[in-house]
Amino acid sequence: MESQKKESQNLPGSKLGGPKKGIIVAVVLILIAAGGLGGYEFYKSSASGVTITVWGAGSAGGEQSAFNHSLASFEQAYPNITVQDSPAATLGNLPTVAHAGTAPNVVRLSSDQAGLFYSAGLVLNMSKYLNKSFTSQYTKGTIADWTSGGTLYGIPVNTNGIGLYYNKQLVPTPPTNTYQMIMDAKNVSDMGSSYVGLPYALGADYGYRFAAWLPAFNGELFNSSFYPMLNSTNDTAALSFVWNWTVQYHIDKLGLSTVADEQALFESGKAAFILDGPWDQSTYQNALGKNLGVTAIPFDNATGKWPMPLWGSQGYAITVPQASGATSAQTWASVQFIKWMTNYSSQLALFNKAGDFPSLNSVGAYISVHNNSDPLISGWVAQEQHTQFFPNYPQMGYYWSAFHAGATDLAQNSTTVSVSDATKMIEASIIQSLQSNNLPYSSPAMNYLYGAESISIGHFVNEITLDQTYVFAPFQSDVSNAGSGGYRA
Amino acid sequence: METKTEKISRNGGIWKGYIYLLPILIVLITLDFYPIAYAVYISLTNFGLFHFFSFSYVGLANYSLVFRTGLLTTLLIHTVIFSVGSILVMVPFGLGMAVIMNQRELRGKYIFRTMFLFPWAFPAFVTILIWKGMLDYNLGIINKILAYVSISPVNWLGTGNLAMLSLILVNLWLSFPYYTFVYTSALQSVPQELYDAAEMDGYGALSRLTRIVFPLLRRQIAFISIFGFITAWNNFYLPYLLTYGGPGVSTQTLPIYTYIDAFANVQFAIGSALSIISILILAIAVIIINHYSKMMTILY
Repeated sequence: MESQKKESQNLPGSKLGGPKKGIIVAVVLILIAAGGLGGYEFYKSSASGVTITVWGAGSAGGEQSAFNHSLASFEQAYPNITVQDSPAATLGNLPTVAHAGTAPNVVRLSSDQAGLFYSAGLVLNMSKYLNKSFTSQYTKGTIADWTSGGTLYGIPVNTNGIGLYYNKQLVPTPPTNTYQMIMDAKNVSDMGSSYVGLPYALGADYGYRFAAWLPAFNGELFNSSFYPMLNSTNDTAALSFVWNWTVQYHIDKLGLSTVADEQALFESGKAAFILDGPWDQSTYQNALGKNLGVTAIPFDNATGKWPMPLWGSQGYAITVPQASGATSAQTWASVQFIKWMTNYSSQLALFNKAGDFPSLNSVGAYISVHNNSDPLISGWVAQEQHTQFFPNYPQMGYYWSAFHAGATDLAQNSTTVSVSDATKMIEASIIQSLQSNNLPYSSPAMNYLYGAESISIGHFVNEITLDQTYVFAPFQSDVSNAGSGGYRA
Repeated sequence: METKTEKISRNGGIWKGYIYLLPILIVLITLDFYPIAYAVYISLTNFGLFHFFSFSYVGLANYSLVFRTGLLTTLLIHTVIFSVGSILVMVPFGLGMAVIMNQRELRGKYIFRTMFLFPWAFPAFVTILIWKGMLDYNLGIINKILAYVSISPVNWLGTGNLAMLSLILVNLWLSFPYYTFVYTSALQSVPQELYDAAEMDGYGALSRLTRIVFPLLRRQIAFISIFGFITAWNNFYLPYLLTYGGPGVSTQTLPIYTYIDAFANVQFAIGSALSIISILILAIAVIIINHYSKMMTILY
């Protein structure tokens, strides 16, 4: 009801004043009461149309096909709203066009990029348009991805991260702890010089995959004051562990190679494992067929902690009228559009056409019932139990290249550069970037910018609401972490 | 004594001159002076992530920030290595090719000249992507050829120093036709009699080069070196497409970092300050070099 009220406040034509306004409002209220029509239905019956512009439609192929499918049904449901979409628009240009007041009304982008734009005031505060009962339909993890300072700035359409793919021909049973994973990888590496147990090109990593290992060592990317923690004992231990795959366990030798090299090894059946996301699953399925398996990155038996990949989300955000020049009618239409594009049928289409995991609990439940024989899905469900919040604060933007520089230095100059040298360098580089860009990394400053409630950014475990038969018993114990580490709902 | 008619005619001529200059002045003002002036203005504000729609004047704070944090030093080192490194290979190579192609007895020189135009005439981004493939560690043809002669594969783009070397070599490939042609035209302006006289005096090829070509072409060489230095300093698309500043930050030059910081990190004021610093450094470098080489006299 509350949302309907808000919607009706934003109906086109609300600019009319005086007695006419009163008459129109009265007529609208009578119509609603009499016909039980919602605000959008009234809008549908109005003669005037509205056009909104949209940037982004997901990656080429399945995601764009799902986008077009949902767009067609939206235009059918809202014949007076015309959507002009630019699937290949460059999101990097958004600040430029926003400053010129010609930004698109809606953008499809990742939660962290949207977080950056929200910090700049480019995208709309959605809390104004969506109430709690609406957001409660989505997984807490994805809503957290799209929340900053207690404010929702977009609606998630999917969720994903990395897991551990394995070749069943080389590793018949997936490892349940890191010791087993290393031993399995070692057995495969020992099969010959062309085999690599766990190919991981550290020098090619920008820190996305490495970040998964931090929780297993009690490490973190930034502390609650947004100070980078890469040079901490725990983070250094995590990097040592990953680097030991090369120098101590000899299960990896890719160092300065590329991710494509890792993938080529795995696809050709010369690697036991690969750390990757569902976006590459179809490639691996084509190469390995039924021998492809996926499981959660295993429990670290040495530290007693789980590795937790960054669990991100793609979604839709609406640009502020100052950026797009939107009228209230366009803003209203944009809200309807993004609600439609993230609804049950749109997310189901996205799953069916692109394999994207849903952000809606109901779609997750549907998938777990209808795809319960798919072992790959159960693998991802297992992984989803052990994930961390994908940081959406601007400081995170300076982690990637700093990590890449340090990791490359370590892989390239292993005789002269130690792991602690690398972590020192990474942290110093992040601090230098934060200083150079005048970005605060002390607690009082962050409180000032974001509000005190936003500064808990510890590990995050997604709350899974899929069918509980899919929650593997060994993983359930970790769900208790959900409330322990700066969990943001 | 100038008559009234002559005066009107002379003034009309001056105005005509101004009218003829107008198109280029408009282009310069709209495409150069206004954007630079706007960048100066932005660099003196806090326009960026936290002050996007309403920003204010902050004086030289952004300049002070980039100098204070040491970031600029790293970027300058990379930019200087790339620019000077490019000049050090492009100038001798272009001159060498021009000298070879300027040989009277060389057969098929027109065919060679046409062929040598190809790397320059081909779209640069396509050339860069082809080089990227050729330099690939596993699939690149360069490492395949090295393997044939039993040389271990080289990680051209994955190792810091080699990535910078790769940038310089690809830049050489993209630029050498231009340098070759400029030198060729300069060489053709050297009177043939000087070569003939030198030959009669028993000068060898090297002596002809050092005693005739270099002294007569010194201004052209200085001009081309400075021109090449400026072009390499401002080169954005080559490092962007070939290495994107990596691996790590080993090929991150001023233009690349400025772009990433302004557009990816929404730090327009800092990005503008960096671009203004870049312009100032270039201007100072050109003034100093010109002072010693007098190369600009070639233009007047």
